[in-house]
Amino acid sequence: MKRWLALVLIVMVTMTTCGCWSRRELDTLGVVMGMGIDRAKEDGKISLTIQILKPAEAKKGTTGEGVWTITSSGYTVFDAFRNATMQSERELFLSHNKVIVIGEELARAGIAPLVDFLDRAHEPRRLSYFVIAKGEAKDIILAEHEQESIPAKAIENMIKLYGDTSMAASVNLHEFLKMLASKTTDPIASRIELIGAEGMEREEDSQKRLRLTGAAAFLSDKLVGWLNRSETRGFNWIVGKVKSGIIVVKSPIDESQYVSIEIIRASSKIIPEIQDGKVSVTVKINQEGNFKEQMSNVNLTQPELFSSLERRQAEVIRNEIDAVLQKAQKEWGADIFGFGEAVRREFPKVWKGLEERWHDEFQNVEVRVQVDAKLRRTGVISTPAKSR
Amino acid sequence: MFNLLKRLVSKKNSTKEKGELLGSDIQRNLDRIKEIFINANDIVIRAFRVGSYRKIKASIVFIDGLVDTGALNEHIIKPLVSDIRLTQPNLWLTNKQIFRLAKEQVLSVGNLQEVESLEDVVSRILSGNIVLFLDGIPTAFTSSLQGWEARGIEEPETEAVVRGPREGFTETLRTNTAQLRRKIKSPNLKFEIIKVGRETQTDVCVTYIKGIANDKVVEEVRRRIKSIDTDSILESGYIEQFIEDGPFSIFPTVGNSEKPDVVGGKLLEGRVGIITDGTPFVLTVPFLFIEAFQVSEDYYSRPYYSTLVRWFRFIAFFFSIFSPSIYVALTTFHQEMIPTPLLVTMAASKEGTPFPALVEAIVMGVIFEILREAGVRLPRPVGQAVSIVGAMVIGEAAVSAGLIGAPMVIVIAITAISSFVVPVISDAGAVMRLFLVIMSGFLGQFGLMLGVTGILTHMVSLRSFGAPYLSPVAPTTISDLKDLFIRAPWWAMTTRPRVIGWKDPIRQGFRLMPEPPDDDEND
Amino acid sequence: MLEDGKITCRQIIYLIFLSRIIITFTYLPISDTPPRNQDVWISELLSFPVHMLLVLPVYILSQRFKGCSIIQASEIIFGKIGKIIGAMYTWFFLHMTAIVLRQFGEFLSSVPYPETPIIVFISSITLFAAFALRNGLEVISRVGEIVTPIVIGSIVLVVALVAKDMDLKVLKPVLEGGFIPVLYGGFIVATRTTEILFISMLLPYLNRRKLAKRVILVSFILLTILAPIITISVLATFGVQQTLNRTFPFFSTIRIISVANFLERIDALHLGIWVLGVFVKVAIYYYLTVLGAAQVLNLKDYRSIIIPIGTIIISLSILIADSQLQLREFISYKYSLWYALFFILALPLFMLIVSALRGKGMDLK
Repeated sequence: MKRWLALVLIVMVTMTTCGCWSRRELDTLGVVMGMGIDRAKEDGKISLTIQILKPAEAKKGTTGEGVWTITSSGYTVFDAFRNATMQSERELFLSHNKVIVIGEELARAGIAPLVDFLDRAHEPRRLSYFVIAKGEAKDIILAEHEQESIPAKAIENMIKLYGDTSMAASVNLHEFLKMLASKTTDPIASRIELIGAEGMEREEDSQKRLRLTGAAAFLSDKLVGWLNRSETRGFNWIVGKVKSGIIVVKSPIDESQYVSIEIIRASSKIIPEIQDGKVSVTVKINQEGNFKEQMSNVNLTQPELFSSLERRQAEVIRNEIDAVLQKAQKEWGADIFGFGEAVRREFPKVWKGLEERWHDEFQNVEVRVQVDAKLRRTGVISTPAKSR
Repeated sequence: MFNLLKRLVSKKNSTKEKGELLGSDIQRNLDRIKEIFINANDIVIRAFRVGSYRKIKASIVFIDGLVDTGALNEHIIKPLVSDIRLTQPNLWLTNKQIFRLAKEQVLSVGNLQEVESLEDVVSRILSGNIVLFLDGIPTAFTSSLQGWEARGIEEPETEAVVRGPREGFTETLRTNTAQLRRKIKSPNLKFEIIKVGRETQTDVCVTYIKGIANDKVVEEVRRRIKSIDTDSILESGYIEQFIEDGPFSIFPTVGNSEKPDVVGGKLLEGRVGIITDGTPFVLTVPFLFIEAFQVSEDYYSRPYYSTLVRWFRFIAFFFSIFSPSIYVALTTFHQEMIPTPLLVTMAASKEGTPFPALVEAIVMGVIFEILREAGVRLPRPVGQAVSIVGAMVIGEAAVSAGLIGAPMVIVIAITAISSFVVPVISDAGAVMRLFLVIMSGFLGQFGLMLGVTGILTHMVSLRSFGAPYLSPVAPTTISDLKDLFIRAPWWAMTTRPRVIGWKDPIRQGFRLMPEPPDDDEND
Repeated sequence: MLEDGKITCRQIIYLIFLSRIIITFTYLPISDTPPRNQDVWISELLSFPVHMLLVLPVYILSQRFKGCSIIQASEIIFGKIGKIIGAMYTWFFLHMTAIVLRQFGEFLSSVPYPETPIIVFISSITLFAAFALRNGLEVISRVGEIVTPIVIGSIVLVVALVAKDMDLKVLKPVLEGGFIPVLYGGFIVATRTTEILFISMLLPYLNRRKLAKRVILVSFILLTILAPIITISVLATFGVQQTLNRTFPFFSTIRIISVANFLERIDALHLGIWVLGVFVKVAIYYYLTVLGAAQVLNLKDYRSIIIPIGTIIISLSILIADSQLQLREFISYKYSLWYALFFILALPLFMLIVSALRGKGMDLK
């Protein structure tokens, strides 16, 4: 018994004297909420802009004042981080990081070197959203927000709401890295930009508002171009990430008036085929919508008009898909849709010969789009209030 | 029951080697007793004469205050002095005849025994019996006409119930055995008295149900109680500490209860009870860890609610042990675990407080224990005021003065409230809590889990009278899980706990589920 | 007898199962072995028959020498020379304990506590294991009995929570690289199971000796069900390429969990389970080392050598490799395959043949 007591004592003593290495109190932490990575002015260096939480202010909820920002530079991302601590009185803590913004210039030069640290270190989370800034990432981080006291949180919430329109890509680091690691699939990320002066009452506000404007497409790890909003929804249709959104079609009776249809659910299926060594892909879209608004004053809630609306709805979807296919496939040759993976899964034997030259082959793949669009419900009224 | 007791006692008398025997001369006997009880002025020696024609000297010895004097007058003195003359008015009776007459026809008391040794006489007197000496007879009568002032049967405060019997044990051993006997009317319910304590000569009663209780456990209990060699037993806690299996353990391995229905239930599961004279707390062994979570009311309420409440008890226990250490681990090591909005709030309230979370936790824990102790010891109305005001003032003031973060106060409050839910192991809980807080303060979650493995290892190595302490979890007994995480309905509780009642495992028949009557025949 | 305790059928199953699965809980060794693609889970399924084959020599040996551990059996077969075999097995257990401890420490030092020296973790858990050892086999197996359901439950919980992030399409195409590598993978998985030797060491303490067959079957069936579940969940969450470059795949999977924006970043939960499980694994290997050493040295009581052997284990686990990379190199299948096969298969088979030739065999019951 005495021996064991002595042992327990030794453990206790060693723990008290040399424990606590990794201990950090909450008030010694600088919680990083968002980060932006840009190319620095100096050659070959990386400039890092990080947004650090000020807990007391953030709790008060004063708009946009819950954080402060540091900009630092270094040869690697981690180097820049550690350099940033020299301007911070608190140890930087990355686990609660919400968004990672990459500047356009750096993204065009290749993104793989930047994400290694984010994947390898234990603190950063793969659930942070991955966003490409049109312009400089620093501007995005410094942008102002009316409601949220933590700007990074505001950006996160914006991306989370992508499903209301499905016109933006919602990609977190985890998904991005998965696409990046794939041998054939090219990654895609959210695109964010500062919007201009129009519509703002005060002059100083005008330059500092953010808007999600679609997606950034990559070829291998380099940014090749941007998808605008409807093209992004085209992309989301193909990969089955459309959650909701509005499809605006012209009224079948009065071409000058519009009808809005709310997407209730949508799914997609990518079916690859190989005939005579030629790869073709069929994309099947199943979509259901609700009739939500009409601006004409005719009664559209009749079966034959409904099916006409359905056709128009399918037409819109097809156009969106065609647009994105045109850009990604024909213009860039970037397989952001994962057609290569689909072919590999269905035809592993053929794929062996195809893998090396997939990117050349991809541009020649014939893509057939089949849209099955349905209109389900009319809302709580049938005819408009002022009907003819 | 009394017969049984008498048999037990007389057996003991015959087998045991006696000291000094009584003589035939009454005066000599009385002198010896006076000598022994010198300066003890509560002893009463009442001398009178017995017999019709020839009268012989007689004396009754008892301790004033321990004897029901009304009964003594009515049933002993009056018959001896007057009735004996009515039954045999004209005979010349020898001492022996008077003795037999008194025994067989005159003394109208139920339990009348004969003792022959002085030692026995003294111990009978001390335990509140009366002793009757007759001249010329080397044997004395003794009868238990105990009648002292005792507390009535009340509802115990420690184990209050909403539904269930409200009676509790009292300080009188006999009342307690009677209460148990009223619950279990079976000749198999045994009470064995062992006297413990050189000075106090406390009656300790081992009770069990023969045929259900494991004989080895009963024997072991007897052996351990008999080997206690101490001067005094004032409460059952003394016995508990003399017989428990893990004397260094923080966990209790002997259970206790103040309620006859609880003890009766445990006896029926095959446990052995130890009733100590002078305390309402009856010990039960073997005691398993899970018993701390099984409350008598579980078995009286309907099963769904009982199960739910039992789960709340588990959760409360978990909170009471772990919440400070988890808080410390989260705020000082694993800040990533805290949801971001919560982190903002917690970090904000941590701003400007001077102490590390570990110190906060320990200090607040200590303050809470002090407040609790103060609340218990003070007179009840004052005590409540102290605890409530103390907690509020200290909590509120410390937070607003910026000494301690508000989340810490909440954590301690949760801990405090939860620790009252499972009172049986709250003392072990306090020790564990401190240990785990220190462990997690040094190495976070790793230290915490290391502490948990240490505690687990210790707990599984404990045994209580042969029963593994953590049974039925480890070693797992599938059939006993019916009374662990759930409380199965009574008709499904067909077996007794395996590690305790294995001697007669079947408690009741199968297929006892109530069903509506079969209506087929009526159609 | 050195050990008076008896363990039940369920306890020994749990020990074998837990000791095997807990490494998968963090390291996923399968990602290093052929076929190195999405078919690894099939390898794990195929490992079941291979397990059965590998168990055979050990099982027959323990049936032939009832009530004897493999170390005692070797002494009966070879006499004094048998002590060398016994010493070899003791070394093997010692080495395995050190490796497990090092793996454990490496995880803690690379993820949650990068600043803390590895020796703190290794020595503290060894000390707690020593405390368990002092109380004997029964206590270790009872701790295992408590921990195993927790481990199984948390695996199921984690898989349920990451289910929405899983993409089961990555499992296709099945058998992309052909059947042979998958089978080879299954073989490697089975040879990693040094827990087979538990059977040879612990069967004498089984309370109902007749259930030995059930122990073997149930523990490996349990393993064959749960290991692929872990592997599939990791594969489906990360895709093949990302799975193969993870150092701690299942841990990374747990980090992906995000339920209702509230239940996120629950890695500390993983850490807790990992500590509990590794504690049992270390304790049982450590126990076998001590028991083996006591049997070789013919000691009456093994308690006196717990601390000395613990010290050896701690220093060995520090010295065993300079870096995480070296450790991984050693325990990768290229080396450990032959190392383990020698002890699991070759030596028992050799002993079996010799004992058959010499006509030795006994029933100590």
